[in-house]
Amino acid sequence: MPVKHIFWPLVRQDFKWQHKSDRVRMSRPWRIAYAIAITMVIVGLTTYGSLVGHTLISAAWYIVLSLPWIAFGTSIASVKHEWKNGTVGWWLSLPISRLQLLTSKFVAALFRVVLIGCGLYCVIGVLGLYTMALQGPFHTDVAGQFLLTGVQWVMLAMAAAPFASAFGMLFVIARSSKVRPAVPLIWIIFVAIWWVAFSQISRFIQTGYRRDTHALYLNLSPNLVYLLLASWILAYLLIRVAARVLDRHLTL
Amino acid sequence: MSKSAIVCQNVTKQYGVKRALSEFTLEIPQGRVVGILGPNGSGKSTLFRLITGLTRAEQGSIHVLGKLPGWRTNCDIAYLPDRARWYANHTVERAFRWAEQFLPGFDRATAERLAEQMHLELDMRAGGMSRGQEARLMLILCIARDVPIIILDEPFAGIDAISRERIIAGLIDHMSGGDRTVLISTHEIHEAEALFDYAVFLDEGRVLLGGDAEQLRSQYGAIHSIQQTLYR
Amino acid sequence: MEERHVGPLTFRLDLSQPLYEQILRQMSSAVARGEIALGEKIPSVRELAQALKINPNTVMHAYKEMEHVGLTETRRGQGTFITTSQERVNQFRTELAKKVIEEFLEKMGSLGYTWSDIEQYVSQYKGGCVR
Repeated sequence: MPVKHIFWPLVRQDFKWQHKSDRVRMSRPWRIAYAIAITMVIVGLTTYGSLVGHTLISAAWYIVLSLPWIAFGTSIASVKHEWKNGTVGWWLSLPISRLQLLTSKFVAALFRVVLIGCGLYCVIGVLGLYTMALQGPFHTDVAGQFLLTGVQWVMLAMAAAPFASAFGMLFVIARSSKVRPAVPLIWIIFVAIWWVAFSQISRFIQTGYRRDTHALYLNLSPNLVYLLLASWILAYLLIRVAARVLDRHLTL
Repeated sequence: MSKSAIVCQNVTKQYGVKRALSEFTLEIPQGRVVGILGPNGSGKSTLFRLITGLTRAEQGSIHVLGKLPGWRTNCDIAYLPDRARWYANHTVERAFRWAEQFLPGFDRATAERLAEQMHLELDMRAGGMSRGQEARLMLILCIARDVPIIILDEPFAGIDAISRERIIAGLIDHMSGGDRTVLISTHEIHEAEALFDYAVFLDEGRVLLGGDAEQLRSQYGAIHSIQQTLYR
Repeated sequence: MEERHVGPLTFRLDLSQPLYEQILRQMSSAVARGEIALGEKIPSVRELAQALKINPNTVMHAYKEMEHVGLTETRRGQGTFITTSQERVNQFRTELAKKVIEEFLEKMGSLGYTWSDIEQYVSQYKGGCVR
């Protein structure tokens, strides 16, 4: 069976995978009840906040900066899940190369990040417009700027996800391999890379604040493309290294 | 029949300071049902993991149907890993669909026939199954495949007697004919020994004794009694 | 050792002896005793393996041997049948009887009995014989 025939089905299966096993899944009415309750709380808080004082609604976009961390976390969880649930033997004996095995989980994690990113964008966007409408006066150009800034933030956060995800893969695989002693080292390198990236981030991204409209806006340097490109190449290399470790150095 | 399914030459596999396999040499002929026998830690699971390319040996060479083990040779192997579980959210039906997609040579019709024979309903969820039912499901996923090698690592461990009997019946039904090689490791030699037509006894990462089961019987007596004498 | 019934046949397999020999021996004594009729169909390899819970290759080995010695005949697409030749069955009976006597004599010999002792003992049992 050619590899290409099982790669995408594998991505789909990794994408659909649920964090909690179905044993503890709630029944449908309960889930709906919780969804309604959470929505009500959020809408209530937003309404209260915007009526009582000026909330800096643009700051809500910072929430999407959690996306790389979500990528990191879900990547770790999706691999760990095979070990924890005792399915690792099935997973590893699939007739597909280690690189493809990991790439499928990687791609699935990125899809999930895109999905969550879009969801967050919609929720924050709607809440933001709602707040603006409550606080009034409502300017379409301000609203447009707000939504555009949101797009920039979300894209930026998503673009950082591959590196975080690849790093998570390497991290979780290293932990169950002979290179386990290198795990703290991997952490140090990871933190160092983030630190360098953030210390230099002002060269690529400038945030500004417009007092009149209470809007945070973003100025993106064209050089940012190089930074992101570098992070993607690094992500690819990390996945390759992780696949190599998975192939040669597992402690099963 | 002269061809070998699996050849191991001087294989050494080490976990830290412990040697799981030590200059291990073994040749398994094609078309046999082979019992891989021995106490815990004798190297049975390690051997299987090396054959399926899950881990690598430090020394020596392994050949599976004449090729080096790896993900490519796994197309030819149906492998039941030790202490394996199945995806809890899968029903039997979904597991079969999964297998159709991911396991080369899986035959849906055979699987459904076996499921009926082993008393598994298609809408049962793995998460709600007993250990025995789950073991039967996983066994079906392995034996309903048209592949030259089947490897079952402790398929009877921790399973009720009825499930064990059904698994044995399913195996017998499916082993008949062909040049399919089946490797089974087990503790429950007494119940399974009549299944084997070839037996290999391992201890501390080496082969103690191996050969045609009928010859072993005529030379040494019952296989479980050989085990008792060997590991005294 | 557990008795297992397969149709008219009864098998008792001892795991400490080669299984195919036991199947061969027990099948031929069933024929010799008339438990299974001439020309009657016997279970397929798979059925017998399933009933006895043993390896099908082992059963296959026994079946090949049975056919080789002329105890059974395989008809294409129909299965395996006991030979229809009464002559051959008689031959098997004689052979089985010979084997029993040989074993008996050997055992008696190993106990130190001479031929005349054995003759004397056997004649004492004459009345109590099965037939």
